[in-house]
Amino acid sequence: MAERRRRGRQGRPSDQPRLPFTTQGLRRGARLALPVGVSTVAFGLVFGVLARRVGLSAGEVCLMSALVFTGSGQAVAIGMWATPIPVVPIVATTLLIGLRHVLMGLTLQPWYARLPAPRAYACYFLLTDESWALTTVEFDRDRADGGVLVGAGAVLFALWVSSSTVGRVIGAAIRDPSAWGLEFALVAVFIALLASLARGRSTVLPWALAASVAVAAEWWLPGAWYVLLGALAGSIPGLVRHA
Amino acid sequence: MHEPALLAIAGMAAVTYATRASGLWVGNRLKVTPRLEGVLDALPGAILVSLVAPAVARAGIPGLVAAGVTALFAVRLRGNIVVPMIVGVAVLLSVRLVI
Repeated sequence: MAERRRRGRQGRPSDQPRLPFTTQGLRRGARLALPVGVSTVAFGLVFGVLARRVGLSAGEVCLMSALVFTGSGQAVAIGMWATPIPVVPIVATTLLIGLRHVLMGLTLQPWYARLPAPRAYACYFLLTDESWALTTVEFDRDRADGGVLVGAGAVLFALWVSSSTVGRVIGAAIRDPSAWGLEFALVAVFIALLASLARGRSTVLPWALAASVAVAAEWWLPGAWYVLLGALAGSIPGLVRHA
Repeated sequence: MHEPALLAIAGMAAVTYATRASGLWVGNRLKVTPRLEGVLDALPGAILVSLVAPAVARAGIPGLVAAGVTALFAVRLRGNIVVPMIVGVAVLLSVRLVI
């Protein structure tokens, strides 16, 4: 991946070969997203139930899921929902939680810079923790296809919008998914994807740093700084390695 | 639907898309030195670890055990995500029942 990224950075992106964007890529992304979709549906149903409790209509839930499309940000926003609605604090908190997407988008940029800009920016609408993680591992295996992000993102989008709306409509009939351990399904998928990114001993120190800082930050700091701080801590050893 | 709710939703949508797009925008304008290259190479793994570690810690001892077993299966079955996912959830539930 490192080698590929270096090559990608030589010269202007427009001089590089186009990033393939195929139907097979779309299909592959969609297939990869299906197991992840289990946790998306569980989370979406619960989100819908919570949104009903704070007084959102089914239309508002559907609209929010379709336009915002970010589970963690929406869940926190619902937690802040009140009458009158604190619009500015809600938007500011959503921004803070979304900042990790800046880093994720940055890591995929060497590939998406090789698509026409309007198409690349459109693809990025579907960038979520899940679609980013699946795409990263695909690109790391040298199967670079711009369609993977879109295929995975589209499946997760459809599942998120529909499950959160259904949760809002049927309400309290839904049980807490933590009773079924479903909140751990996504964690397990991410662990499996990490196994694909592992590079023996050279990853031990950066990952240990990232894990310690993320856990400490989640414990002691308010808000959603932990992903950002952990990610930065884990990439600092990279400074030294290439110095 | 009422106006403040729509305003909040529109604001959330705008800032969320802005965070998504800005990674691409910044990357297109970034002058990448070899040192920065090292940081960028380490970033994907570090982001993923930072998403996972607090969730595992929050799940306590069952979470730690389930994460360990999931990692073992994941390393053995490199590339498979369905089996580690099922194993992870199953182990978490089993350990919760025991302790």
